[in-house]
Amino acid sequence: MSGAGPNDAALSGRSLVKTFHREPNEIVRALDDVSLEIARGSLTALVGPDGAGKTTLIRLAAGLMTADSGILRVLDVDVAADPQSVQNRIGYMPQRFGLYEDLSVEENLNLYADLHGVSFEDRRRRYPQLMQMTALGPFGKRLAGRLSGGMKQKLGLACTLVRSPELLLLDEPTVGVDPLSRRELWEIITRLVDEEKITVLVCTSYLDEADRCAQAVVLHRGSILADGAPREVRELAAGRTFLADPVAGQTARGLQADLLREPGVVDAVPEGGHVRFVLGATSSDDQSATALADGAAVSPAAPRFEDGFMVLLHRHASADEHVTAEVSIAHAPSNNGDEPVVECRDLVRQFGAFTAVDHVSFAVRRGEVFGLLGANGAGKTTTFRMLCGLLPASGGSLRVAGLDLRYARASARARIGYVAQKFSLYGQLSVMDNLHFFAGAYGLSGAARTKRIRWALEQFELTDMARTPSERLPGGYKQRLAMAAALMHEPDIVFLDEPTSGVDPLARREFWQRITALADQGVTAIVTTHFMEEAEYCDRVVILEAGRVLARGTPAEIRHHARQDGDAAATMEDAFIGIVEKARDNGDKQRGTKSPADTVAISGVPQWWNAGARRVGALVRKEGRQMIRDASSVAIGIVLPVVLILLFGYGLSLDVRDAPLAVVIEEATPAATSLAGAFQLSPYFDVTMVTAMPEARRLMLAREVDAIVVLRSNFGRQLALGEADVQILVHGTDANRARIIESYIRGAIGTWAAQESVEGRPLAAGPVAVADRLWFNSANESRYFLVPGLIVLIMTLIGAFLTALVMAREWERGTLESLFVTPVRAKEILLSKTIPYFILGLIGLALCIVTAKFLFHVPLRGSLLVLCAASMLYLLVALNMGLLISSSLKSQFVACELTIIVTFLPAMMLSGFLFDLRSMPVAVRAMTYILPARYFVTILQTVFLAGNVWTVYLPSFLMLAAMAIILRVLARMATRKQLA
Amino acid sequence: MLDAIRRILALSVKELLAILKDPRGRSTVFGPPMLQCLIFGYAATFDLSNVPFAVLDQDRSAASTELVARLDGSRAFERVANLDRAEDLKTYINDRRALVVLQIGQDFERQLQLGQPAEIQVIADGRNSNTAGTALGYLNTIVSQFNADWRSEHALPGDAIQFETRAWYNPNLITRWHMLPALIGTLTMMQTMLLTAMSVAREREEGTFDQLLVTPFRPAEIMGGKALPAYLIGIAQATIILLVAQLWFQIPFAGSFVTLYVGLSFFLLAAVGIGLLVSSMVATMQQALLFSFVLLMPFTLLSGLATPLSAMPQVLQYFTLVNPLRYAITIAHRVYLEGASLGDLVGELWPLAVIAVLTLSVASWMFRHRLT
Repeated sequence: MSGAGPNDAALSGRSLVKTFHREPNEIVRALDDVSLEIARGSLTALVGPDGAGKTTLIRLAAGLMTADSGILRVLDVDVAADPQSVQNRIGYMPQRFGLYEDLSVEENLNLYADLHGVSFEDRRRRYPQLMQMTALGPFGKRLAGRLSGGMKQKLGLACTLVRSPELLLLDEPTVGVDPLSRRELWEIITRLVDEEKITVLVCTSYLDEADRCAQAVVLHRGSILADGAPREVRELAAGRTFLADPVAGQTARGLQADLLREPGVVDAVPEGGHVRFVLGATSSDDQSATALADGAAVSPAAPRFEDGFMVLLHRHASADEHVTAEVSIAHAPSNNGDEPVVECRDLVRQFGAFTAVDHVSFAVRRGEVFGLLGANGAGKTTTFRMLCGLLPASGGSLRVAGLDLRYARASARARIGYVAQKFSLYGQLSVMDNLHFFAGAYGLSGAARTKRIRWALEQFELTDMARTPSERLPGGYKQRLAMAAALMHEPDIVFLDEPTSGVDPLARREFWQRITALADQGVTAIVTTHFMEEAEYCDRVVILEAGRVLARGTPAEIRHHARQDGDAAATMEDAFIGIVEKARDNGDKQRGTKSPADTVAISGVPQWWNAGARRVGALVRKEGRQMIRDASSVAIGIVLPVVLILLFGYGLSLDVRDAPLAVVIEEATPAATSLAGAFQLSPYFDVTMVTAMPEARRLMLAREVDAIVVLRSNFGRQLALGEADVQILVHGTDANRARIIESYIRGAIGTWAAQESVEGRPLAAGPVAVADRLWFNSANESRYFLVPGLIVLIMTLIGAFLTALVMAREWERGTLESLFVTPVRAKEILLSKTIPYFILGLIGLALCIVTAKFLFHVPLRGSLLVLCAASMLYLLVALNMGLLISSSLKSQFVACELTIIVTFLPAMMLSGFLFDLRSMPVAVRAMTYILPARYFVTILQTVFLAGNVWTVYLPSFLMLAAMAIILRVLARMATRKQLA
Repeated sequence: MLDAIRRILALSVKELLAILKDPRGRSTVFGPPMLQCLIFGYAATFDLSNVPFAVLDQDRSAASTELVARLDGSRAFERVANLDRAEDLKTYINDRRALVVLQIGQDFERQLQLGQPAEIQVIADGRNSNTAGTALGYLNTIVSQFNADWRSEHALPGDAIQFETRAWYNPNLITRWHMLPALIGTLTMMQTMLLTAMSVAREREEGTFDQLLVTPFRPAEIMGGKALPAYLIGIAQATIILLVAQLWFQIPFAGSFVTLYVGLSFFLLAAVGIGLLVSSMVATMQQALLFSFVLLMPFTLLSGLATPLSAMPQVLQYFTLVNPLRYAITIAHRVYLEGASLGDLVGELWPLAVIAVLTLSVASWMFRHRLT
């Protein structure tokens, strides 16, 4: 608005406090009295170690959480009071952007464009820019799940930037992004600030990025340590920053390790062949610096933001915080001389037509730290997975400790340790349990196991956290735990795939200290990283691009290599960018064109719809695509109904036909044979005649017959006297069937007796005869009630089962966090989850009705309209129930268990479809009244067999409608746009 | 070998911890079987009680009153109305107010006195024909009793044919005796299959499966480590159900526990094998759940739990041969009610063993070969 002058703050927070319960009695103050102000049109960095409260602050600003106290105004709106209006105007990229992995790149992009109401024209302008930045153009049709980690991050950013928001909140946007893309990404951010006057708040662990910002806020343990121009932080290290050159025969990382052991040194990192180190607050003259460096040449250096940051943290660190991240192992790896421990030659891996790794060769010697560098999607992770035996190679040869792990004996894997790119230990288990498990996995037991676990807890300083579930650990601790687990068994070789992504600067230093210590003890480490300064720790590196090796050598050689091309590469990052860009330019020249950036198709919901309809439409399209792409939805939506229809129609029956029956005729009198003949003629029995009871008993024990009728030798004589005795024995295991058989036997004998006469006197039936009739199903076909009952099961399956997981899955995968900070309303999310499954349900319904009527000839005596209306109503009830379950539980596993218990089993057992409700005890019967299936079964049985009986319909319809509404309201309440 | 066992144990302990440490996991594993067993013990019965019936007694004689009183006196029936007009019969059935309506003609007693057959008209609501048939059976029994008593009171000759009925293994033909032992297999199968199918899918989704594959675990050991906890949980659930059946419902146990547990072990291995097979083929938890269900439904329906196997068409009876639940239910019935010994169960045990061996080995092969 025009009223917003340049002096207005885009974000202003006063005395913000936010606490969390980590353990039942442990309260964490994530934000402790934080006040800050961010000017409109400015670029602000938010930095700090893990657990400082950065993400919490960003989430408060995005309206995803509410502060315990304090006031936060974003774009002049109180976020806590009106989060939606803030969410309409800002852009937000969470740490892990919630991409839909089963949608393609362009489908994800178009989805967010639709949700933000970006017109097609704007998209035509915007998309080429975004593709230029992210280099995702050629991958428009690829599913997001198949992108490499860094490419996903870039796509996430592209989705956030589909339009220009007034305020952009970025939570670690460059984690896992390669240096080239990072540079391009920052160009975009800078352009947004400079040209479009957007305010940007970016939370980052790359401290060089903070230097680019106008304002830097340093958070530590929920409090602000510094807030101002980055220069202010930088100057804290002025006069205390030096560069030292390692003496001959010493590696940079060796000198760095020496320096870090000195008490006066706050920080030391290798840099361009030197070691940059910062002295603590107490001593700050060149003399003491030279003394520390132990003979190495020392020169003063200009401080960087990172140096000042380290000084600042050091000043506020408590005594116990100083970590000496050394690590020592008990047994040094066996010495194989100078043989390479890891070697691959002409390694190739193809995914379909795409070659991810293209004739890669390298060798790693024992005790080396070997770096695998490359842009996103260059093939680093694929190479790793092949080396670890997780993926078969398409060609070439590879040897790890002399073996191909994919085909080697399992015990060979005990010689390697592997830390995956994503934290992949058991989140719900405690630190201790995880260590216990991995110790056991490597065959440690008894005292050895106890010893190694103690070692891990001590060396990685996890003792305090031993009982914390690992998913609740702060990032740096997770990384330590992952490393501890990979080192439990003292492997010779460790594979570390981007171990420092998303880890704060302190934890990164600790990590490298440990790697250095391990390498000194003879452990070989193979590492990938996107922090180019970390490559300085490596003995040798290779740079991969598009699956090929571009350059190899020591860090100094690589820098030198880049310098030859006329580009003065002082740092590894410049060298890397130079080498990769040159290769890309050459590639483009070969192909003759610059690769087309704009290959992403623009599609979306019709522009003339109103905003709400467009958002719902876009989400329904997304949901529909996911449904069609996932075979399991189709299986449950179409295949299962068909299977069930056929089973119920042809397979299941409670009717007794051809029941195996043994008739024992001890003496073949005319009366006995006549009666036995009557049994043989009956369609209900399949009679075996025997002459003695033992034989019949044997048949029954073998379950060859279900019942025995015994006609004793005196049957004929007694019948004449009017006092004949017939013994009936039934196999009672299946009580229902036994009872039916018994009554059929009595019936058969009764019918026979009515026709027979003994010596002229009729064997008439009793004084009172029952003339019974079965209404609605005079043929007594159990199919008539089983097939309609089937509709209940199918509607329940489609309605509740498919939806029970959809919301829980979005919670688990984090896609909702991104979705929440868009103009989408919670009710629109729910609606869009209802529509596709409702349609799938209708297909199932149509299948059921058609087969019931035409295949199984179940009469439909009532109106088809009533049947359809009732089914749709019930489908809505089931859908809402599924949505309620999944949005309140947020866990797929529990949601699935609960769905079976509260929807499926009741529909089968407590609905009156099979078992009579009136015969159940009062408590159980009372329960059936709150189950929707009961009312639906009532309607179904009536509409199919009895015809339109409105006195039955009305109450049931009313109950179903009431339930649909109540469940909807509950589901709506459970789906709040808030993170727990 | 020792190492392999150690690894399997480590994985099993981890699995059990993951399930049992989480209060929600604990309650979903042990709460539902108990609850379901109690509810279904009461609900899943074809035995009727309180069948609502209405009477149109046009005779209003001592005999007709006596007959209706006998219905009232039985626990099975409950009179909901005395009707005056024949049209009401229809309404009561249509509106589901009565399951059975009786019409007693106005010369009912006179015909009885004359020794002529006196007919009563009975209409039953056939919307659930099974229930209706059972109710009619009850009614016929009561009328027979009335007849016998009438004869002896009026010195008429008795029925020419007397029935002497005995039901083996379930003397009072109570459906619950049939249901509860069958639930042991049904409920444990549902849980163990889902547990195994979901646990591997969960590891895949969370990325821990790769971590597992770079340790010295062999595929067969991973299978073992996943199968053992599921098996133990299955046994624990079966025990809960068994206790409910015996202590709460007091259904007498005729066989030996050893036999039952041996049979259950074979069955649970087969169920776990199927679960693992599903898990080796799916990528996500949703797929695991849905595919398990696509299998569980036919398994349950074609097991003889609700409808007898022998009433199925021959083709489907062949299909039931690969259904582990079918054998589990037979084993449970035969041991629980009939007191069968292990020797009697060979015909059920070997198919289960074949299913277990086949599914476990295919799943183990799939684990290694389905890696992309």
